[in-house]
Amino acid sequence: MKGKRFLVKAAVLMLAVCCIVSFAACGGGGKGEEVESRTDKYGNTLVTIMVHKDSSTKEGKAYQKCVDDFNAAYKSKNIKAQITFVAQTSGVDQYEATISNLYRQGGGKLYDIISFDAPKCAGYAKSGILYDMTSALGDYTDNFISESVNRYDGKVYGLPIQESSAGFYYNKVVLNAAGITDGEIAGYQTNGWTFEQFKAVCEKLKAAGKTAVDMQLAAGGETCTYLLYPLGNAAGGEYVSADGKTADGYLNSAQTKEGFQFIKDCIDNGYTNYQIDGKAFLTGDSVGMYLSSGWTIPDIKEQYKDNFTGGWGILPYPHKSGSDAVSATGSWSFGITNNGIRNKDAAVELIKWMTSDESATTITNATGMIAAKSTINKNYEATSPEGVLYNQLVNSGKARPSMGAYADFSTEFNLIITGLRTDSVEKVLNEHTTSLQTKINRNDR
Amino acid sequence: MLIGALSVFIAMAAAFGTVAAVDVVKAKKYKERYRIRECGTAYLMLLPAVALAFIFIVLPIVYSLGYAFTDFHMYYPNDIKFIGLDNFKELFREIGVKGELYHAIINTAIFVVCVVPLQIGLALVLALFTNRKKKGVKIFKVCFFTPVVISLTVTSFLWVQILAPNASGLLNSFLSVFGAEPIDFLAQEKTAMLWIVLMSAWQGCGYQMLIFSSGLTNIRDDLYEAASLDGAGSWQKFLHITLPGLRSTLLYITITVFVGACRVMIQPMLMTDYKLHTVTLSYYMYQLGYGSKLVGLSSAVALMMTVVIGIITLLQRKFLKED
Amino acid sequence: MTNTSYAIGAVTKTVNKPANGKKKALTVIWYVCGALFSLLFILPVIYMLAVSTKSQLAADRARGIAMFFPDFMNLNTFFSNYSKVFTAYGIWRNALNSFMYAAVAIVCNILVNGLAGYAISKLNFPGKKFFTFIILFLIIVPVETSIIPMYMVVTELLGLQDRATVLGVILPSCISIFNIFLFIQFFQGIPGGYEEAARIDGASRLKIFFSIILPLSKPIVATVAVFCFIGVWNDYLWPMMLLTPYPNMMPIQAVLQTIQNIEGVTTGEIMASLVVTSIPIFVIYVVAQKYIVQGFGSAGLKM
Repeated sequence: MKGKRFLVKAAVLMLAVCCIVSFAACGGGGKGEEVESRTDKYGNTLVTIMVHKDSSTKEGKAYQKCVDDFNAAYKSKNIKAQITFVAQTSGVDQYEATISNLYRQGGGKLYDIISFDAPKCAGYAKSGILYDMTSALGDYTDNFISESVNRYDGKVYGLPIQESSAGFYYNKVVLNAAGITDGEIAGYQTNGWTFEQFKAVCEKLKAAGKTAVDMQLAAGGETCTYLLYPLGNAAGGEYVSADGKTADGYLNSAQTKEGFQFIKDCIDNGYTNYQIDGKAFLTGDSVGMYLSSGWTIPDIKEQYKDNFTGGWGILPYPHKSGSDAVSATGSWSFGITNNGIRNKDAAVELIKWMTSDESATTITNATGMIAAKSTINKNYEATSPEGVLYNQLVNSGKARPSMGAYADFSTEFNLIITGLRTDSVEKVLNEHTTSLQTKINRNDR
Repeated sequence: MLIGALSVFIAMAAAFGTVAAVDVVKAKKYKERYRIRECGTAYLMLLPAVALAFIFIVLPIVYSLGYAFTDFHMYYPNDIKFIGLDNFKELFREIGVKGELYHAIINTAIFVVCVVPLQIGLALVLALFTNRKKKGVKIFKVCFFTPVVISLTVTSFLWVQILAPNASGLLNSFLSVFGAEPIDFLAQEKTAMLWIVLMSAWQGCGYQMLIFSSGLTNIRDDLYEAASLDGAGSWQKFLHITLPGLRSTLLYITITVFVGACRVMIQPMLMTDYKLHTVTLSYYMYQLGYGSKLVGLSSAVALMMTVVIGIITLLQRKFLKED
Repeated sequence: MTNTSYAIGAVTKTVNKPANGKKKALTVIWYVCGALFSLLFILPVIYMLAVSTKSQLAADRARGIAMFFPDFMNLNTFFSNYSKVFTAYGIWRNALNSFMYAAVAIVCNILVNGLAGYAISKLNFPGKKFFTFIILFLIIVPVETSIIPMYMVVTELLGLQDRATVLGVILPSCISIFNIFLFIQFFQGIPGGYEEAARIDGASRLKIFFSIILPLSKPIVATVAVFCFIGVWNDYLWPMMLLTPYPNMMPIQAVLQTIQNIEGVTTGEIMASLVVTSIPIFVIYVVAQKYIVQGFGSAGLKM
């Protein structure tokens, strides 16, 4: 009898352990199978989309509205869209982690459409996360600002949600006081300006006792890269080869060095430095110009308007005389994913809807940014802040390097900017060229 | 991966088998007998623990050893190449050109060098301070221990608010009384790491204080009395009685605090995000593996860390034991 | 002390008098120092509590000592941050998750490690040395550096996804080599006589474990339970790595980060979420203080 009871107990224990282990071991087992399409219980084709904003934000609400409109319009066609909001976070980036976690599971677990920051396109495309939309979209991409469409290897992987550019914000009162006339400013705004003209303006501001320009050298992270990469390009140089696989001979080319020498000159001549308080331009008159992205426009209009009663505006990026002007572009885009669902028709419908003129208007109205489509002409005045940024986008916009190892490029770029503080351009660029090249190789497979 | 897991399992099973066989042979020699049912029960009782420990402790350790010599990429788990020491060459090159790893090592070194003496010293002072029978000692102890029970996540976020560069930041609003401009403490390249040190010591030292306290109560009172009769001052008493009495406690605490400090990651991660001036070794390792998906390279960093930590721990042990 | 010295007599009284004065001064200094030290440690916590009751405006305006006092001026909005954290941000759901994970982990932890500890310390079987050696080895090796391979094991080898991912969070916290070690040490201290008596009655080993050994080991079981709870409740990185795609299953520490990054979140709301997260640990600490101290005692003896 006793023996029997023991056996029963042992059996129960064994069973429990086996349950734990087998449940763990056979829970999924690698990538899920491919499926044709995803349907809900009413037989509607289900298409899912994930965006990088919280649902409570203005931008999030705009996305929600677009999806609701889509559902209303496609009800008869039995297509239903579902939107998920996953905010980006510091630390463990939940947005990024969600994409990589779900992608690795396959079997339609990943959302059909995701939003992503433009420079990440190449990395996602290369690792197979993004779906090649070239043939599915056809000539649909013609209406977008050409530089804003996310391409990799000549194929289309992403459509821009909206666009942003950056420029040198100025406080008119400060510039005028330093002897820079309105006519001069308007000339720069419409015709662009050269490194020498930029330095001359800085010299005047310096002579007037101001910090000439806040280039956000210490901003760090993607902000630093986004704001400063056009200056490296502005002497006609490149960072990496067109296929994104070679840095040697590009990052350390004479032209690129000249671009960085311009930044270094600004530091050495005392026009800018690493210690400027980021709010100094917005809250006082000690700084003449401020390099920032388009998102500062609403800030100045609302939060800091008291400081700019004398007028303000944006100056474009300067360039080397003889070279073409280059300006920052690239905001967030939508792309279709390779999530193990074979039929992409519904996803293509949704992505077209989300980037249609109406949707783009809804979204840009919520965010205050610029629509990435030439069909939405907002009739900006050429010297207005938005006008300067829009003209830059259309005429001189240049996307950040398209490469699988973009994150490493961004880190190296930050290191270069930090390195300029103490070392010569020559030394810093040579050092980081080798560094970047090995990082590219490391990611190349 | 499955093959790897199976081979590890077979190796472990073989090792166990030999040990068990030797035991059985020995038992036969000495005419002892294992009762079969007892053995069965014992193995059954061990099974859950062994299964879990194998999957979640042994396998990761073995994998991290193995991956360090491969080019394992998270997105291509079925395409692994053995690349020998290339990962380590890559790491040393990165140190050479003062890349991220260089910063990570420097920052971790700063953290360890500052936090180990600070935290242990603080804990010892607090333990000595509370080592008397007066009213209110308990309240003080509770106060000192409070930060320990709050999680690292909460303390990190709390200190982010304390050091915030705006009006509601505790420190800046305190400084603004003296007319100082708000400072973004955690963005300062030179000093950000020191704030993390300070926060970590503040958070952790209550824990070590308790261990020191239990060590102090084990020192016999009559030693102090005898020393008093010999006319020893309190400093001499501390040097000749308290410290020797605490030696094993001190050893334990030094090693645990040291190992903990080498692994620092959550604090910089939550307080400053991935910035060059605060990135630490663990954080770099995590970022390589989970962020950049380069599991192989990340494992190489982990292996280097483990080896270095292990060596220093052994040295500490030897040094403190011989003393 | 002082009373007895007065009672002993005039001689000692006169001898002790100057010393007594000094002692009193020392005592006063001791208390002042203690108070200062304590403030150093709990001021940030008080600050956290105080700000959690304030609106953003009140938090920005507070200067000097007012920063450490709750917002008694606006009692009607006193708990508004908390209500927002609970309703709008739904932190209770994550708190519930954490409680559930902790409960499962505690039970499993005690059973799994307790059984293993019992087998190793009380039963005789071939290959015992192997296990004791492995345990000693694993205690010394710093396991935490292998978090990335562990992630690969859970996602790739075990292939956990969807709801099953939770297992990846719970199962690793069910096994603790250090706890097995604690159990072994404690069980070895239990005299064999208890067991012998039960065995003569014909009880099985399992029955002995549950009806005799576990009840006798209440202190160590409580210590293990308390530490297991604290460990699971405070764990951040691991659940975060695994559970990001499933916000409904995230534990409370992970959601703190989400709240931090919500656009337009106020300092008060952040602080309220921090307070909410800390409360259960405080309660545990107050209730189970004895076992925590005990745990440290045994930890200190270890090496």
